[in-house]
Amino acid sequence: MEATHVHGAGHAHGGDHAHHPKGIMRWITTTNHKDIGTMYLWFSFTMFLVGGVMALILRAELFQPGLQFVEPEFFNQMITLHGLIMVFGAIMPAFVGFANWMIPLMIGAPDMAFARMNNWSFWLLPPAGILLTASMFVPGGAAGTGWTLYPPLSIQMGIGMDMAIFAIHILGMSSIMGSINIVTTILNLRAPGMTLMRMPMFCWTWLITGYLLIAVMPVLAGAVTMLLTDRHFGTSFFNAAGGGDPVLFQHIFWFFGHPEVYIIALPAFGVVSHVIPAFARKPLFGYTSMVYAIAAIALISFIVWAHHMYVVGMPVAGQLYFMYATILIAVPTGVKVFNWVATMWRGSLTFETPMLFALGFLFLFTIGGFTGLVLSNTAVDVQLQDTYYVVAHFHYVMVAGALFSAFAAVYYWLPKWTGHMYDETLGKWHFWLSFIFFNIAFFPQHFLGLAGMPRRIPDYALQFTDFNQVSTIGAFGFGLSQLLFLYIVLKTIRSGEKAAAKPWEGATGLEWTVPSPAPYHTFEEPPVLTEAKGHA
Amino acid sequence: MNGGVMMAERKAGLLQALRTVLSALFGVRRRSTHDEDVAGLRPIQVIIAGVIVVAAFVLAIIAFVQFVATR
Ligand code: HEM
Ligand SMILES: [Cu+2]
Repeated sequence: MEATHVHGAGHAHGGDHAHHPKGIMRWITTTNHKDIGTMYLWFSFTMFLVGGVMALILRAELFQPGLQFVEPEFFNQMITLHGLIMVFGAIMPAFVGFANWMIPLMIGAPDMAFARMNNWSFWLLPPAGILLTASMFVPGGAAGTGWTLYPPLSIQMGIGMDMAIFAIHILGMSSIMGSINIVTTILNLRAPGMTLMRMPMFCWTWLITGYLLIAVMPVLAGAVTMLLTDRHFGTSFFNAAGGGDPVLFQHIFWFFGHPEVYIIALPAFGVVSHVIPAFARKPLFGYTSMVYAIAAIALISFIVWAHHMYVVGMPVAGQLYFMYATILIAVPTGVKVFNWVATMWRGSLTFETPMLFALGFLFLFTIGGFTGLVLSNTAVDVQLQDTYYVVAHFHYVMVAGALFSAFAAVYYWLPKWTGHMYDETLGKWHFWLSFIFFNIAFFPQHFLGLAGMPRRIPDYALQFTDFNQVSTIGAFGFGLSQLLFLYIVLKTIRSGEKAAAKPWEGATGLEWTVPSPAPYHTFEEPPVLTEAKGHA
Repeated sequence: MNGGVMMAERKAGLLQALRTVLSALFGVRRRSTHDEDVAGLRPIQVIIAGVIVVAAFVLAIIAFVQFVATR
């Protein structure tokens, strides 16, 4: 809220009230959006480390051709769990955590709309995380199907598969409740004067993401429930022998799966739309068209799903339809990149860690977007489907896109959360190490894919050795760099310099009008927005 | 509901909503035309226009595909 004056922020109560429980019970029973946001973020980081260790097991095995460390079956299980844990356990909860912490602060609300449901949305996550990780130790091991859970394999696996299905049910419930909460909070709890079109972009991206989640999580739940009944209750939805069709599963899965990509990407866009203006000291270029374009992206994300299925046997007309539609959806997405670049144009830029991560996002997400365009071409995808090119593509989108934007968010808001500044030098180290090692790990995978190396394979032909070794070295470097991140965050909490209420010169928005650390209760009285112009 | 007033505004409203949605698909637009459009629009109009445009978009691609693929 540029040039917006706020009254009432000072009335926020500092510190704790006497009437809420201490110790572990505080966290179990809490309905406070800040506590819950914090728990989401720690859960997400824990799952990130678990999924990261799994990734490193994969990369270690792929350092050399032949089998060195793990059995092929176990390799497949690691692939599946890594994918599921990173998507549902690390990235999505991270952005829900940001939403919990920041949306009430950004719109001047005292808390989330359904505070108790919020507690439940969070506490569903740990059981799901435990189910997924524990499934490694049951007879037959974890699901080995890949995160896409395609039948017929997913109909044949052992109890680990049932645990994965149950985990997805629980994660889905958590996401649906979380999004109902976010949507309701945004629509009903905005401070007087904060109209929708004055709302910070992060809230807009989450409003639209919330609707996407409510639309597609039930679809995924339906798909895995059909798997479950095929497995145990004699149905044949996906079983050709009983008159079903395994390809049906792929359609349902990707009808969820493609919007899911935007569920991950849109909140990341939101974060970047705050960080870049703050460090360019200019308002976001094209706020309103950005809002509309994000809504348009969300709508079109429902009509392109079968670009993941070019090789399953589709009529040419179908392939052409999904190819054209996919190429067209790239237009509004690509224009966002121009929005951010135009925001920086002639701004007075500085490059603190959040800005570095936002720029890293911008640069690498664009590469991921371009390789996505390459893959959207049916004739090309028929060659590249299920090769390392695809692995490179989606890691550019998810790691360099979503994860880098999450890091930007953490560095940007950490002073608000903890009341301390992080160590800028170490933050910059974290960025450069992540940026360089990320590219060492994933750029060579484009070449591997183009040369024909299949994905989800523990062994490979000799000619792929060099690039795989480079990739593994990069992956271990990237993984180790994240321990530096943990150290930085802990150091900030313990001993960082005291942070001002608004530590970033160019930052705008209500969240910077409350003290740092943000008091336990904020905006119990709605703030009064007095200037009609300008957005976050 | 206040049918009379709505009827009067409606025609222009729907066209403007369509314009807004089409420019959203492209991604950027001039501020002045945007302000013009948004002044009179209610969210429901934009949502309906959005769904219509997406349906038309799908049909248009299908028609184009038929044209290309049946030769
Ligand atoms: C330390 C960083 C990471 C490394 C080194 C890494 C490595 C890998 C490897 C080796 C694979 C298996 C590729 C194959 O053979 O098909 C994989 C798959 C995958 N990764 Fe990552 N990854 C990392 C981070 C992430 C993150 C943050 C996400 C987040 C969303 C993610 C999502 C996925 C998904 C969805 C798959 C596909 C799983 C499947 O094939 O079913 N990864 N990753
Ligand atoms: Cu897709």
